[in-house]
Amino acid sequence: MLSTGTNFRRFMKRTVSAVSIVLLAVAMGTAGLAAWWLKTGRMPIASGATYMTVTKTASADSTPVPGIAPIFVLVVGSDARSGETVARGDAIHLVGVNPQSGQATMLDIPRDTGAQIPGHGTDKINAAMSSGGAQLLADTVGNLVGIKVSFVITTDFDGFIGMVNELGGVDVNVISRNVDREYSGANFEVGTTHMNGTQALAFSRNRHGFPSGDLKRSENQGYFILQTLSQLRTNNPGPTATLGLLGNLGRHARLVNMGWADAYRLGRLGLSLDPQNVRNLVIPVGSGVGSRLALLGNARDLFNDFADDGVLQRH
Amino acid sequence: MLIAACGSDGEKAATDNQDQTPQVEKVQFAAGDVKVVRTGNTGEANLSDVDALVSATAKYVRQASVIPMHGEPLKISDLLTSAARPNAVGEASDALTDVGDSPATDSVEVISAPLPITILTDNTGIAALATVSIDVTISTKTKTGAVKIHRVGELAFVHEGSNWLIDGWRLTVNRDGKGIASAPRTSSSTKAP
Repeated sequence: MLSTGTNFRRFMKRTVSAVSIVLLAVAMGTAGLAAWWLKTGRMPIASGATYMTVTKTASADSTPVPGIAPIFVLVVGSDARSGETVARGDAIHLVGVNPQSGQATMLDIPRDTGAQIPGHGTDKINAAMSSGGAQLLADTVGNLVGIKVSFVITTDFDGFIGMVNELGGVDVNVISRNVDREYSGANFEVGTTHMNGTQALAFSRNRHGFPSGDLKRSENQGYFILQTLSQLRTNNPGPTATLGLLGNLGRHARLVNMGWADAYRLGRLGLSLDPQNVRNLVIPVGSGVGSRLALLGNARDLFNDFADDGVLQRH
Repeated sequence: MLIAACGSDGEKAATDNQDQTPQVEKVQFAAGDVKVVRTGNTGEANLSDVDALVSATAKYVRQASVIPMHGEPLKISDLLTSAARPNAVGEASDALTDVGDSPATDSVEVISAPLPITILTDNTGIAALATVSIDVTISTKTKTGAVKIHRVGELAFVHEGSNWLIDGWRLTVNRDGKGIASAPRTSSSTKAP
């Protein structure tokens, strides 16, 4: 429970990460919502709330062959609170999709990972967002991993609960106990739980309940994304259902440097993925100077394995 | 919002198949229910867009199925977006097009159910994307026998300039009859550029 202002601010500040989960789920497999919308005949109502921003990066157009080459999408949950325009990227997930094989990899990048931020020296990777927005974070992550990010999906705390609720909640198969009543409010035993927005946020932000802290939290965020994608795909989405979702997306999303064709293709690309064919793993980091986490020795090999086609063959 | 609109695309007979009997295709396409998905507060179904989508669908059927059945080269690349072209290969091509069978020796009949259309409008109300659901049966005869092809699914269109181009699809095709070059078969493709 959040009983004090301090705890609430901490809650607000540190746990926006899960918002990104919903956004990616939307980007990856939005037709579930669309199917619901089509089934119920409910037209999305403009609320004025922006749940997410989708940015096509400067390097997106250099993708060699659309539909053939791997595509890299960065999903970011920022720590922005209402009214704030500058924020750090506190939940960072890099998704590499191989359209040819229908496989994908999600690299969960802890927010404290040390990285070279172009023009700003070495810092925690989450500082790139506040220094230069989505593009700089994309460049920073791209340089770290050795890829070019084509799209960045960002969200903040305010969008998270609303988006999960828009989806009608998500059925999550909790495979390990996730309890942290003091900070996140997470209270999930093993088994399938239907989570609303608030519960999903608690599930995805809990780090105090695990010995590995933020690393386990990052992994859980990725897991939640895949659980959401799995649920969306059970609705057997197609192009028309995707359009229905885009109608909703358009009312709650801001598209930067891109049009609806790009948004449609991004959504369909996600929907083409079977979650069984998506690897989810936290990049290998250890301790570091000034609480910055240093990459472990095997990180470079992992990145090289990932960068060539978005799929891990050796890890 | 539902509106009814009609469009048609009359097909001309293919001309230069010397070995074939005269072929006259009977093609009638018409819009079914039209839905509009708005990303802003405005946006209605423009009849010119509806007609253009019906015509684009008819053109696709003609170029992907009817013309190849006359033994002429397949020409659908100009109907696809640049993003979709690399995907129109292999299984996708088999689901999208009808090639490889003996040329038709009789007229090619095309029967299409009304085409349900969904249009997405941008925040200024301009149509940006659309999907057309198809249910098309194509029948003809070849020197080896009858051919019947049933294609159902969805085509996704992107509005580029004044054209509606195919950007994606989810199609299932059933082919039957002694005129089919290989054994009667089913093919399907879901492709998302």
